[in-house]
Parts: sequence; structure tokens; C-alpha cells
Amino acid sequence: MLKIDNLQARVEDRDILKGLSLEIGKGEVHAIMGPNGSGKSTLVQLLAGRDDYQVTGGTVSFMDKDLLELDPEERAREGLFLAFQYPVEIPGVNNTYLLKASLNAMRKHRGETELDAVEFLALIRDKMKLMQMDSSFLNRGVNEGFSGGEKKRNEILQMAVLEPKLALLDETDSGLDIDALKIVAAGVNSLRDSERSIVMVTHYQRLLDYIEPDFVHVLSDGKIIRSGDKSLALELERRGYDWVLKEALEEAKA
Amino acid sequence: MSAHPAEALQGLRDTFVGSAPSDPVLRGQREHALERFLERGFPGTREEKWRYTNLRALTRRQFITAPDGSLSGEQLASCRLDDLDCHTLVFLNGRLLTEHSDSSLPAGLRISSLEALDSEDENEEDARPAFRELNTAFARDAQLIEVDADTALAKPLYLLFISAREELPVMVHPRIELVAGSNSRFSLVEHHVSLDLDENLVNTVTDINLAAGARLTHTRIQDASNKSFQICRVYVEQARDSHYINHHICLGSALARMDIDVSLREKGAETELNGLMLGKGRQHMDTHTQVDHLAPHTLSREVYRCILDEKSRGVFNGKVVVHKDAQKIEAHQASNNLLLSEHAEIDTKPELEIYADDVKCSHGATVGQLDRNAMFYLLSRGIDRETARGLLVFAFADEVVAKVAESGIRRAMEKRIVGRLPDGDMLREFV
Ligand SMILES: Nc1ncnc2c1ncn2[C@@H]1O[C@H](COP(=O)(O)OP(=O)(O)OP(=O)(O)O)[C@@H](O)[C@H]1O
Ligand SMILES: [Mg+2]
Repeated sequence: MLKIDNLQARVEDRDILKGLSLEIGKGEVHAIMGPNGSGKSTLVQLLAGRDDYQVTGGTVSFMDKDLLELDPEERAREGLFLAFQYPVEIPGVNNTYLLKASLNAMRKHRGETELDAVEFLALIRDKMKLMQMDSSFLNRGVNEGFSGGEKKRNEILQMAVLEPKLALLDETDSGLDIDALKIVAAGVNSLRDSERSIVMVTHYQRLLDYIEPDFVHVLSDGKIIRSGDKSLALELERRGYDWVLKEALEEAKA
Repeated sequence: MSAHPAEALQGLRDTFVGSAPSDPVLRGQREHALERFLERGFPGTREEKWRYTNLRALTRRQFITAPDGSLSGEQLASCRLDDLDCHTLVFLNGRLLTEHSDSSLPAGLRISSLEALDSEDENEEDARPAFRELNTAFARDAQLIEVDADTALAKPLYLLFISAREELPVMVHPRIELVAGSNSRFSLVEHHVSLDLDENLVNTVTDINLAAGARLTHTRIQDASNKSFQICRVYVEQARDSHYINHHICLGSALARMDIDVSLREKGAETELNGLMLGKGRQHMDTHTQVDHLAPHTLSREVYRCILDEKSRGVFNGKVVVHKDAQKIEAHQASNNLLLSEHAEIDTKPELEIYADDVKCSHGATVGQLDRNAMFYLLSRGIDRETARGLLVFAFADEVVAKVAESGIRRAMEKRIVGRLPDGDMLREFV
């Protein structure tokens, strides 16, 4: 599905990603953890096509295409979805219309017929039930005046409507209360299948209790320094990051 | 000081002879105003208030006064806002068309024709701007609108000013005086449109007087021909606890100049000024506001947005004067501007004069391009670049339009704005 090889990127003359490699197979769920400022958001935003970052080396292929060659809107239409760590408020652009335009852009790209207003409403009502969102959200501006938790829920609602092949969830669990976390997790789990891959960036084991990852990675200073299964997350929870950082340093010396 | 050919002004004198009222007193007043205008002429760019707005194109023109005309039902339908439940007066090139206007009005609302305009009071005269004198000299079918005390009128009064082409460009001088009684509630909607691509001059003067506790919403939509000249001046006098809201949506004209002067004369008076200027081609749009806080505990809030494409030019000047002893006032002003082309230009300037010490004032001006984060968010959802851009520009404009209370006006304006935007076609289904 996604193959990142020795990726290096900088922003404003500062190296952020320093030779990052990661492979995500079809149907797999990966968790990426790591200290603040280590480059997690940079990685997922870069993958989604944000042009603030300058790629200075390495390659990324997505479904056998050179991802870095594609514009952000093309990446989205190819099935890549980013749930933002900080979803943007866009007052004046209606939530429903954005979703409908977005879904239809993808359908058109795949050569499918576009949904009309009635079909779309039926679809979105279903998905909103899943996310336990009130229909009043439909008439508001994109994320306008949404609470932090509501914004995150709205991101997963979009994911549920768009049904991407690869979903990158950047700290979707941060700022959620315990009930909202369960709802979001249920939403994500309902989208889990053998064709869809999911990457979750998170700081907390708690999320992984609800969405069990196949793999856990530690990203530090622009590189993946350790990978393991879900037991790695439990160990991190217990012992923090220091020991992984130390071990990585020693391995590097050896 | 006059920056324009003498023949143009002589032309005005000839035009006056054929158009002035016959009553000798009224005629005298008009003549006096004309002479005062001719003495000074049109304002030139050496005057501070006209620094960024050059009237050369206007002063080179000869304008005639409009002959009587009529309007078919279809023509009217093509001009009016159709989704507005209102009382209506229709003007064609400044003349009231009684056959298209409502003759019966609700209790508490009175409309009559206004004959005597500005008096020959020397103290006041010196402060009168040139375009006001010109309006006084030539105004026809001036209207006095009175709202009785303690009257709340449910429907707005809709004044539809239609411009039409004649052999030569026409000058039209709409004149409105509105007096709102104490604790009245009222909404006035002014709509300026063109039947065809006229090159007329429309020089409007609106005097508004709000008694204690009166509340007025004044919406002005200027959607006239892109070759016309639109000059407008609104004067607002506010008594204790009165509330004035102005929405100004400026879409049309080759050159538009809006002046709003608000005097907050007594405690508790509040004023809210919102404006949107949407320029393209070589349009020039200028808004000057002046709010005088003359009493303590008064409040003013201004939000102006300007979106300029191609080679259009915008000017915003927001002056706030806090007079001595006007303590505990609040004055807030925001001027946010979006330049869609590297050839578009905006001059925006707050001007604060504060002679009291316990005041809360804020002002902020931004000039920019579209928000990068919002742009990336839309792209990441598969929206193409043109549509994303159109959506964000529309959203920027809509923050002003959304403040208009009447949903019929809001929807009509949203449609118009979408039609005017670059990449607007993509957005039809969004509004
Ligand atoms: N546009 C930018 N300009 C300057 N520095 C940036 C920019 N974007 C990211 N950085 C820097 O890159 C580093 C990595 O940031 P990033 O947001 O990827 O971290 P993160 O791992 O997601 O952290 P967190 O856990 O706090 O979300 C940080 O030091 C950040 O300040
Ligand atoms: Mg982050």
C-alpha cells in the first residue's frame, strides 16, 4: 500500500525528517508514537501533500505510484485521507457541501456516477448515526465553532463518508473525552477491513485499547527508531521513551 | 481648486435652468446650492478625503437630467429582489414611479415628498460637501420617511433605484430623509441597479435621524452598471440608546464612493457599520466612514471587507473621533482585504482622534491572500484548486453578507457574489 524509503525533509532550512523508512501493507493498522516535535505531523502532512515541506531525499510510493509527484487533491482522490491534528475552521463553507463535493470528486475520479442531494443525505445520515453526531452539524460552517472533540469526530465522519484506502489519523484521540473516544474508535473499527490501511499517530496507549494495532513504531528526531507489536506501546506506557532512545543510540554506535 | 473643465460646469448651469422647481423660494434654495457647488467644483485629489479617488473620468462627462420614463412589468421584475416581503417604492432615473410603488402603507409609516432641502444657513453651509450641494441643486422626488414613535414595522421598506440609459449619460440625485420616532423598529433596504450598461452618475444623499431608543437597520446594495458613477453619502444622527446598523454591499460601478457620517449624540447610542466591496476589471471603490462619539457610553463597531481582482482598486478610511467628555465609549474597527491579483490595490487606513481618556478603541487592518491552512484542508479533501479558491473567497465575502437579517436579501446577494467571483461557476451548488 505505502512504502516510505529513507525519506528526508526540511522546513525553512531545518531538517525534520532524517531518513525515515516505513512500510504499510494492505489491511494493516499501524500506530506511530514519539516525543513532541519528533516529526509525526510533518510526516503525515507531507504524505497528504502539504507544500511547506521540502523533500530533500528518499522516495514514497503509494499503490505503486510515486506519491510525491501527485498534487494533494490527486492524493486524496487516489484514496489517501488525513485526519488533521488541528482541523481547520472554515466559516462560510458549509460542512455538508464540502463533504458532498469531496465525495463526488472522488467518485468522478473513479469513474463512478456522482451522488445527488437525496442520495448523499441518506448516506451521510447513516454515517452521522455511527458517529453519534447531531444533524445540526450539517448546516454549520466547516468545523466552525466546533469544540475540540467535535472537530475530531467530524474528521472521522469525513473518513467514514469518503472510505479511503489509506487513512492517516494524526492524534485523533487527543482532546476526546472517554465517551467520544469510544465513538471515534467504533467509527474507525467499522472501517477496518482487509483492503484498508490505517496509520494512527498517538501519544496514548488508551486509544490502542480500543483500536488494536498490528504494528507500533517509535519516531524520534525524524527517524523510526524502533518497531514492534502492540506490546511495545504497553512498554512505552510503563517506561517512557528514555530507554528506547538510549538503546537506539547504542545501536547506532555499534 | 476645481480640477475639471469649465464647460462641464457651465453645462450644469444650463441643465439647471430646465429642471429647477417653479416655486420661487424652492428655486432660490436650489440655485444657491448650485452656485455654492460651482464655486468649489468637484473635489480634487489634493483634498485629503479624496487623495486616493480621482474624479477625472467623472468630471470630463456631460450629464443631462433624466426625461420622464416608464418601466414594463418585465423590466421591473428583472431588477427587483424577488424574495423579499416588503413595502416598495420604485424610482427610474430618480423619478418615483407611482404605478409600481405601494400606495398603502402600514400604520405608523408615512412617506411624503420633501420639497425644502438644505437651508441657507451659513454656519452649516461651510461643512457641506460638494456632492451634497449638487444633490440639493438637482434632487427630484426627494422623500421624507417617518416612522412613528413606538412602532415596530415587520416588513422592510424597499427603495429600488433603477438606472437606465438615455441619449447622453444621466445624472440622478436620490434624496431621502428618514426620521425614526422614539423606540421605533424599522428596516430600510436601498437597492441600486441598472437596466442596461448605463454611464450615469447617481449621487445619493440620505439623512437619518434616530430618536431615543429607535432601532434602524439600513441595508444598501449597489449593484449598478460597471460603467456608472455611484456617489453616496449617509448622515446619521443618533439620540439616547438608539441603534443603527448599516450593511453596505458594493458590487457595481466604475467608480463608487460611499461616505457614512455617524454622530452618536447621546448616552447609550450604538452604531454598527458593515461593508463589502467586490471589485474587478478597473473598478474603483472607496468607503469613508466617520463616527463621532459625542457622548459617554456610546459604541461603534465597524467591519469592512474588500475583495479585489484584476486591476481594481479599493480604499477604506475609517475615522473615529472621541470627543472631550465622551468617556467609557467603545470603538472597534476591522478592515480585512483580499487581493486576488497582483495588479489589484487597496489603501486602508484607520484614523483615530481621541480627546477623552477612559475609552476602549481597537482597530485592525489586514491585506492578504487566501489562508494557506484552509486551502490545504480543502485540497486534502479532493477539492480542486479552482473550486477551493472560489469557496474561500466566497466564504470571506459571506461573513459580511451573513450579518444581513433578511434571508431573501442574503440569498440574492450570495448568488450575485458567486456570479461575480473568479471560478464562481464551480460554486453554484454551494449556495
Ligand atoms: N512550518 C513549520 N515551520 C517551522 N518549523 C516547523 C514547521 N512545521 C513543523 N516544524 C517543526 O518541526 C518539528 C516537528 O514538528 P511536528 O509537528 O511534525 O511534530 P510532532 O511529532 O507532530 O509533535 P506533537 O507530538 O507535538 O504533535 C517541530 O520542531 C516543529 O517546530
Ligand atoms: Mg503532531
